[in-house]
Parts: sequence; C-alpha cells; structure tokens
Amino acid sequence: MGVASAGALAGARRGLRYRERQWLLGYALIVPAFAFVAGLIVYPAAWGVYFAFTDKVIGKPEQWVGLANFAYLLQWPDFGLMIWNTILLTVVAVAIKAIVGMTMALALNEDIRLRSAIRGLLFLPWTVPSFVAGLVWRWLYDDQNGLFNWALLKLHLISAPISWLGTHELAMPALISVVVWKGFPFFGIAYLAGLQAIPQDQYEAAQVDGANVFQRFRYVTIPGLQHVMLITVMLSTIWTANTFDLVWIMTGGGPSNATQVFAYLSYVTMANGRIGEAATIPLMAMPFFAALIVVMTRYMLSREQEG
Amino acid sequence: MAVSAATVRSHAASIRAGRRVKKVVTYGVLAFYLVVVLIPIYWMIRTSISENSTLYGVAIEFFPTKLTVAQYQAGIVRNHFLDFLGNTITVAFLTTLFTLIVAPLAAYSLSRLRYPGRGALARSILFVYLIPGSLIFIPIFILMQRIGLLNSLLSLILTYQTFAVPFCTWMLIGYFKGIPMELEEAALIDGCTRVGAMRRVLLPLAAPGLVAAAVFTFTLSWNEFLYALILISNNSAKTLPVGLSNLVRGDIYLFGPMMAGATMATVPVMILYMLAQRFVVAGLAAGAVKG
Repeated sequence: MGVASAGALAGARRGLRYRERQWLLGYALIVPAFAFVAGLIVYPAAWGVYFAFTDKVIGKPEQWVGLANFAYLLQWPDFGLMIWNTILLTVVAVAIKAIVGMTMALALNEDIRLRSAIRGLLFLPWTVPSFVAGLVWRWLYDDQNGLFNWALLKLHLISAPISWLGTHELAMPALISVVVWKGFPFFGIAYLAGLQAIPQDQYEAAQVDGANVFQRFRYVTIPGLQHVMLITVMLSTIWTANTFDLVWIMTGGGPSNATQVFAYLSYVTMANGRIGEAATIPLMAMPFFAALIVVMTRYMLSREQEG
Repeated sequence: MAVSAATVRSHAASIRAGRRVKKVVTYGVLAFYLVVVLIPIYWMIRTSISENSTLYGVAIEFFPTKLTVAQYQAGIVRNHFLDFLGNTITVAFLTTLFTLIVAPLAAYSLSRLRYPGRGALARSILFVYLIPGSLIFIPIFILMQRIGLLNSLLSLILTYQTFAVPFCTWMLIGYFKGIPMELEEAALIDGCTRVGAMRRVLLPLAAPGLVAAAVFTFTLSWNEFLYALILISNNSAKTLPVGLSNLVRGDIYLFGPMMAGATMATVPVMILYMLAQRFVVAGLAAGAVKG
C-alpha cells in the first residue's frame, strides 16, 4: 500500500509540475500580445473616457467639467442629423452590399468560364485603399470634369452638369455608392465560400422533392449561409458605421452636414483642438458598438466551440 | 406512347431553355459587376498616364490618345511621392514582421495550452479586434504626444499593432485548431520541447494561414488612413494615402498627379493579391466562416 500511494503521489506531483509548466508557458507566450493591447488600447481608452468629462484643449491642462460636453453636443442643432446620417449610411450600405454580394456569389458558384479570373477582378475594390477609392470617385463625380457628368451629357440624359457631392439630396447616395463599391467584394467572397460548403446532395434532395429554384434558395441556400451572413453583416455594420476616410476625401461632411457622420465629426472636433468634446462623441457611440461587439463575440465563440 | 414522348421532349426543351436563361442571367450579372468594378480603376490609371489637355472640359476622352509620364513626374518631383511610398513600404513591412512574431505565439497559447483565464483572454482578443479605430484614435494621439513619438514611423508601427495583433491572433487560432494535435504530440514524445514542436511541426503546417495573415496585415497597414492622418504632420514621415491628401488644397484638386499617386498606392497591393489569391480567399473564408 505504501509503495502504491507513493507512486501515485509522485505521479500526481509530476502531473502538477507538468500542468504548472504549461500554465507558465501559456502566459509567457501571450504576454507580448497583451502588452500591446493593454498599452495601446486599454490605457489610452481610459484616458479617452476621462477627457470626455474635461474641457481639454491641445496644449493646455484640462479641468473637470462633468457632463458639460455631453450637454453641449446634444444641443448642437445638427446632432440628430449626424446620428440619422450614420444610421442611414450603415443600414442602406450594408443592405446593398449584402444583396450585391449574394448575387455575385450565386453567379460565381455557377459552372462558368474564367471563374477564378472573374473572382479575382471582382475582388479588386477590396484591395484599393479606401482613401484612394474616395479620391478616384471624387474625380468620377467631379461636377466640371468628372466622367459621370461627361457621359451623361454626351448621352443627352442631362442638359447641365450635376453637382453630385455638392447637392444636399445627392451627396449621401453618392457616398453610399462608394461604400458599396469598396465593400461588396468582401460579402461576395465570404458568401461564395459559404455556398461551396453547402453539400450538393441537399440541393438534389430538394429537387427530388419538387422544390423549384426559389424554394431551393429559401430552404437550402439561406439556412446554409445563415452563419456567414450573420458574421459578415455584423462585421460590416461595425466598419460601415465608422466610415471616415471616404467622408474626409469626398464631402468633408457637407454640404451643410448632409453627410456628417460620427467618426468624421469626432475627427474634425479634435482637429480644431477641442479634445474634450472630440472624446465625448465616440464615448456616446460606444454603448451601441459595445452591445454589437458583445453579441458578436458570444456568437463567434459559441460557434467556435461547436465547430 | 407518342404523346408521352412529346411531353418528355417538351419537358427536356423547357429544362434546356431554363438553363439558357440561367446562363444569360449569370453572365449578365457578372458582366455588369465587372464593368462597375473596373471603370473606376480604369479611370484612375487612364488619368495617371494622360496629358492634362485630355482630362478637362469638352476635351475629355474615354480612351487616351496621348500617353505621358508627366503626372508621375510631377508627383515624384514636386510632391515627394517616392518618399511617401518608401514610408508606406517601411511601415507595412515592419508592422507585418512584428505581428508575425507576436500573434503566432499568442495564438499557440490560446489554442494549444490549458491554463486558468484562457477563455477570458481569448474573448478579450476577439473583443479588441472588433473595436473600431475611431473610438480610440484620440487617446492614442495624446499617448503618442506624451511619449514624444508624433511624426515618427514608429508611432504608426506601434499603433497598427492594435488591429494587426488581435486580427492575426484570432485568424491563426482558427488555423491552429484545424491542425490535429496528434502531430505535435508525436514530436513531444520524440523529445521535442513544446516550442520546438510548434516551430518544427505546427508552424510549417499552418504556413497558408501565416501567409494569409501576413497579406492581410500588410494590406491593412498599407491602406490605413485615420491614424496616419492624426499622428503624422511632417512630410518626411507621411505614408502615401496621407501624402496624397497634401494635394487637396481647398477646392482645387490636382487630379492628374493625384491619380498617379493613387495608382502607386494601389497597384502594389493588387499585385500582392493576384500572387496570393489562393491563400487570401481561403483566409477570408476561414475568417468569416470560422470567425
């Protein structure tokens, strides 16, 4: 008995040491990554929250002002418009991206010639820096020398050039067109991968049961793509709601705040040196993003455990 | 008998007609998307190699007749495009290098080792990956100002780790989980250390994932605009996107040189994607399908 328990004890001790060594190695390997995350996100973010409650301007020490920044922003006449613009841009652009991406994926999933070449070309907008995309489209939309006005005039569809980016009603649709151009390939490629993961026999079974093409789409394709659709839509919602580069280069939030969105407003306020108010804007948007991110984190991790 | 043969034949004909319609619609949709995607890219390149006389007013030509490198010359001689390009390459390359050292270690730890708090750490990596830059750029500006790194390429390389490290770690966790543990266990039994097994067995097998992670990180850093705009005001450290914004002066847009710069900022990444398309598509699919 004594021998046996001594052996078990030694085994347990060895097991413990092995486990502790694994703990140590686990922490050691993750320390560099977390040093970056803590130093460059958590610590500065804490500062950001603090600044939102101060009257910080560049080059001067700050003073605590409580909720004054929030009150100031809320009474700004175009604050509601800015929120509305951000929501409108996000909802409309993400919806169009999802629809265009779906049709792109469905077409690419057919038995077609030059599939990989076409897929490669359709993916190109994703590789274009968004600032460059904005610049190129700013040029296409140019009221004097832009390609669009030139073509429309040439085809006699319009009699005078249109100021696409300078007109209150047209600026937002023009902005959305570029957000969609830049963003739909991501949806298309992700959906295509999802489509290719749906087993072919599900379609065959549905066909045998007499399902037509729309029913097959509704009852086989959509359920099979559900997970990919959810992830891409949520990811894209976060990115689109943070549109900055395109607004900077194309409209500067104008005309008269017609394309003002929260990320750009925060930047402009900061560029004017008003750090306190600038830090307040993202803080006000934070609950929305935090909720979305928490939901998404949970969802992705639960899938991860299943898979 | 004859009737049923005719029915069968007409049924077959309707299936063929259906297939033809499907084919026309498929190619039609793809052709339309190709035109939409390619026209802006064509117009960018076409503008960059055209003389100013064919760019403005009534003289606009869809297909160029007179080609010139004058727009590139103007951008390079007057607007420091080559310096900006050099900065962009340096920042993207070093960011990718840093990340590819840090992220695989973290991903290995989170996917292969068991220790208390691992779940919470994995969750926080994903959480941080999803935090958009517009929510933290102000404090990062203040931080860089305090530690005296404004106007340095180092400030960009450090800042880009905030999205690159969580992104690559998350992506590599997915890849590592797809590689059977038994292979490493065999190496451990053969006397390899854990780090040795990671280096000799896991990383070579995860090479496609590492390539995809590298391509994505390089692209994200190459294309980044917001941080570069606020952290760099000195020409000597500007990246290409921010350097191009120099050319925006009030309402005057110098579109010729701008499109030359835009082409310089775009073509290298496009070529990278053409070369790595296989890995990138697989990576994107893995990223979206598996988180």
